[in-house]
Amino acid sequence: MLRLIAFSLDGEWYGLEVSHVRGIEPESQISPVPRAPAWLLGVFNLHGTILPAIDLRPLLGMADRKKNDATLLLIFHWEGNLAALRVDSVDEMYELPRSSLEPQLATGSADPTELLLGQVRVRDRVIGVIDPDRLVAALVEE
Amino acid sequence: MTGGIGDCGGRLWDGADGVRLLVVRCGAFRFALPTGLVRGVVSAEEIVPLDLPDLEGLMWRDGELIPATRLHPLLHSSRSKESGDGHGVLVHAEGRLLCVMVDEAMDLVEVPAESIVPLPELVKRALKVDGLESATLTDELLLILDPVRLLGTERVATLVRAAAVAVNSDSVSEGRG
Repeated sequence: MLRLIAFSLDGEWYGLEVSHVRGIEPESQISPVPRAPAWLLGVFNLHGTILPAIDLRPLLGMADRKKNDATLLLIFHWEGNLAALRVDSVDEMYELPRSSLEPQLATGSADPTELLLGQVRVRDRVIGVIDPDRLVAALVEE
Repeated sequence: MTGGIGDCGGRLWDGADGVRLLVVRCGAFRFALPTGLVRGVVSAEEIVPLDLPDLEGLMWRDGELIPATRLHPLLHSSRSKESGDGHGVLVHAEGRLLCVMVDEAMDLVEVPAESIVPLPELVKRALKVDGLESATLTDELLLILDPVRLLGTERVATLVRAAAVAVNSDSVSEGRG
């Protein structure tokens, strides 16, 4: 089964497998860092650990957007590391057959297939499923 | 400023229970410099300004010629307009003194050693620069900066050579600090 946490960015939906998600936090004080690439919002303190805060918008070809009161940080892990994605909202968890994962993206935004395992269709939504390993690989190539 | 910032005395200022840091402001950022690197803080008024690439100016202390450079370009930051002339932080670099200019030397703080943690590897890889590798987590998250590593050996050597050339030119009159 494919278990996804779905989140939105400017009305588009993306998802991370639940096994990669470590929590959801309201956005707190993020300290900017110098020389940061566009995707790196800065770093913040989560219970004594410093995490990078990531903005997916530059990688997805979306316009820059300032934090608003509803912005959340979706904490995820890969290979023993933790990071956070700034998202507009987090939706429910979806449980789907893994066969429902489609290879092609059709969300209308810039095609970030290098970040995605594929997409799933849930009711009226198309959700791009992000692969954390591919995401991190794309970040360090920036 | 508090805590007698002006002269750090050249001691390794690690307290029995903590680590002492000099907090500085550089553009939009605040950093903490380990006081073990710091040999003093001076007003920018003590620096003879020069209009040379990278070499912001020169100063003298105890007969030693000290080149001065700004960190802002290396941090991809602009100088704060509210800072006035700023401060120079004297640091040991490659066996001599170097003056790194910041917008403000703000405070001396002592933090628990266990509050100092490394930056995430993803961040270090993204920044692609030496000298920014850890931070202290106390009331706020402060990046710890090693300005000498940030500058790098080659740049320090270039600054020293440029300073020697400048002081021998007619455009600079020697002063003693």
